[in-house]
Amino acid sequence: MFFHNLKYTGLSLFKKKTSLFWTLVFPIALSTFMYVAFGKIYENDTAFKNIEVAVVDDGENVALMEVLNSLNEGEDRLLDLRQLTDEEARKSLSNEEVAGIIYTKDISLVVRESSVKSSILETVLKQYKQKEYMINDVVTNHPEKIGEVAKELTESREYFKETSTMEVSQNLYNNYFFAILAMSCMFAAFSSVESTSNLLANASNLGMRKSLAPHSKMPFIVSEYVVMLFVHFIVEVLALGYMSMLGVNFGAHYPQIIMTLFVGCMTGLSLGVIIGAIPKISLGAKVAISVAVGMALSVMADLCIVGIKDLIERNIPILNRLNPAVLITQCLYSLNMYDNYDKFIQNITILVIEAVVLVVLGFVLVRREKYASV
Amino acid sequence: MQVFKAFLKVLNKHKGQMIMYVCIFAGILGGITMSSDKEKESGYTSTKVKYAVVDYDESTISEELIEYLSKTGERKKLSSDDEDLIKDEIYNGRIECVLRIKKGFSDELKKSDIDNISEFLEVVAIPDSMQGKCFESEIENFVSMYHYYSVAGFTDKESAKKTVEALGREVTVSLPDGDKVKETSKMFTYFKYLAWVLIMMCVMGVTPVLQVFMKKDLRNRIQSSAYRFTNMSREILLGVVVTGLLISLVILGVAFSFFNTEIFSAKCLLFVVNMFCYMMVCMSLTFLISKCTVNEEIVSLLANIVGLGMSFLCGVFVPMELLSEGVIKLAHFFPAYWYVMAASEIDLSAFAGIETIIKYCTIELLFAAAIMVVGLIVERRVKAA
Repeated sequence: MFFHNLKYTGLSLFKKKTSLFWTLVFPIALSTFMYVAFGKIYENDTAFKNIEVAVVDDGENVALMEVLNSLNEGEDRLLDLRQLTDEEARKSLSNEEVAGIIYTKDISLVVRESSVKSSILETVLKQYKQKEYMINDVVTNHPEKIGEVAKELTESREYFKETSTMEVSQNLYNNYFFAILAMSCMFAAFSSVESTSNLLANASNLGMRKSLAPHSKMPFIVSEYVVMLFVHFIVEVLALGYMSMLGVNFGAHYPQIIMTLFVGCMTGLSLGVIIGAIPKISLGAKVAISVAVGMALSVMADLCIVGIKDLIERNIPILNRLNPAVLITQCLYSLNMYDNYDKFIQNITILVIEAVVLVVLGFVLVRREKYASV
Repeated sequence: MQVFKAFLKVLNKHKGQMIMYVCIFAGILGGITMSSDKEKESGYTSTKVKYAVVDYDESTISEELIEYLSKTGERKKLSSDDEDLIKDEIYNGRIECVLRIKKGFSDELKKSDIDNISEFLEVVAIPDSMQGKCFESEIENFVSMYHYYSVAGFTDKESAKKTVEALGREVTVSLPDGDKVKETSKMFTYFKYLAWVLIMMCVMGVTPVLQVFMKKDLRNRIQSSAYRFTNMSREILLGVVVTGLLISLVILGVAFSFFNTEIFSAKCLLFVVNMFCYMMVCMSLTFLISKCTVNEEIVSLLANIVGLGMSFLCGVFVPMELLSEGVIKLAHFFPAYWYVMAASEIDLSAFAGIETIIKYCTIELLFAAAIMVVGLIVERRVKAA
């Protein structure tokens, strides 16, 4: 009975080509949109690039020009200098071709906006003024030491050791892709809502026929669940492969990521079984509930704005411990960020427990459904 | 008006579902608006790097260094010097850099040769980040300045004092011709996110109602009656518009709870006009989708693909200035882009930019009309089939 139903559930599922198509298209289309939108954001927002700056030089402050030129040399140069007239410089600033204008005459700066680039330019000029002050101070108080100080000024040395936070991706925008996978797992609930309705005699004609059959409901439930799990798991793996091909950095722990997606699909499907088992409401209303639940859980897992998850973590951390969408994103995050598996194991364990509890609960709700003979 | 009345009856039957969507998305919208920053208008302010310091040296010099950094950045507390905690804090953007001052830092700095000073200072930051460069530059500035004074023969105490004095030199930084840096208002955030919320609310909430009229038996019954196709379409469209107005009223009610009497301002009036134009787009889209499929599961997936996709590409979820030129060019083909542009113009210049705002709203209405025409063509084809 189990294998018979497994075969026919599989066949009927694969015959619903439109549903299957959209289930697969959903994560792929969304990740494509995201990739197109976020392709260069990390570079624009965080990654360091040399700063385009205009210099209006009156020819009198030779020392400052020397410093600026030294920062304009080499491959990793800090500045990309353009010597312009005041008018040209202002035009370039308004056309967003340069981040600021340096006036050597009074060592001042005009910038387009308050930004990190503007602050770096400000620091460069500030440091020049500070060193100028220090040299004058030394000349006044210890003129005999000016030679030694000048020598130190030309010394190039390392003042600190820079430790990278990690070897893998630090791109905050990866969170969006993690959230898409989580949302896709949660939306697996749509399939199980429909198939659960098809098992209930008070919800569909097919449910009436199945309830009349002189068989236990368990083989029906389990076989349908197994087929749906297989299909959604394949969809998630394909979506993961597609995102990796696009260039989203998931790290190197693919077996664990695939395991996370498998458990995520289990959780999503089980949520759907429970929603599908709610009595006396239409299939449309059940789909609506699963959309609302899936959306709310995914938004809390940083689907729309990065930072909501962190905000919840600081105020109501228990929500993040229980939200399966957050747990999925946290599993992917911890695999990407930590050298050990401690956090991953912690998150995946909660997710597995949730999945098992939801599966058992869903099966119990559907299995013993009986109808009065009137 | 029989079809219109039937539409209202079906809508009434689906009101529970509708209310649920409205509540969920209004809640999400509220949460996002509440968590956004407050409006402010100011001149130039230097960007403060968010950093934490772990000081194992606890010397006068290390304290001076920390004091100096607190003037140039925004110091955050770190509950413990734990690698995983630091990674979490940096990844989530609460902290951008961490400085570890190791034991022996001050003794090393007092030496005439400080070539090993890097053994005592450790900076944790995102590799090659702007914030990291900014923070490191300030550390280098302090340490080198102290060292120069030390080499010049000043005592430790004098060097510390002189370093603070020298580092107090400032530079005049201004915006071109007294411009002000204006940050976006909460009201803008609220109306911007509507670009996503409205599509979700309309497509998910109204499509099931429209799908009832696509059911084969009902469609055949209406078609076999003497009722003209144009009358039926017109009344269904009227029903769609009335539903849109009802949803708009709910949105305004939620806005009132956030902004109180501020919603009676001229600026808000423009936001509302822009919202109504976009509502027409959402309703046209709903009409089109309802003609394409009767499967609720597909409707949900389509609503999410269209709603989220447009939001990512058109500057709803991320600021438009961060999107690349190519993406912005592509976004011109989506109505959400014009909605966000109009909202941005309203926030920036209100009635002063009325011409631009009218232009953007007209483009939205043209999108709505175009989508509606496609919907009517699809409906004709379905009827013919």
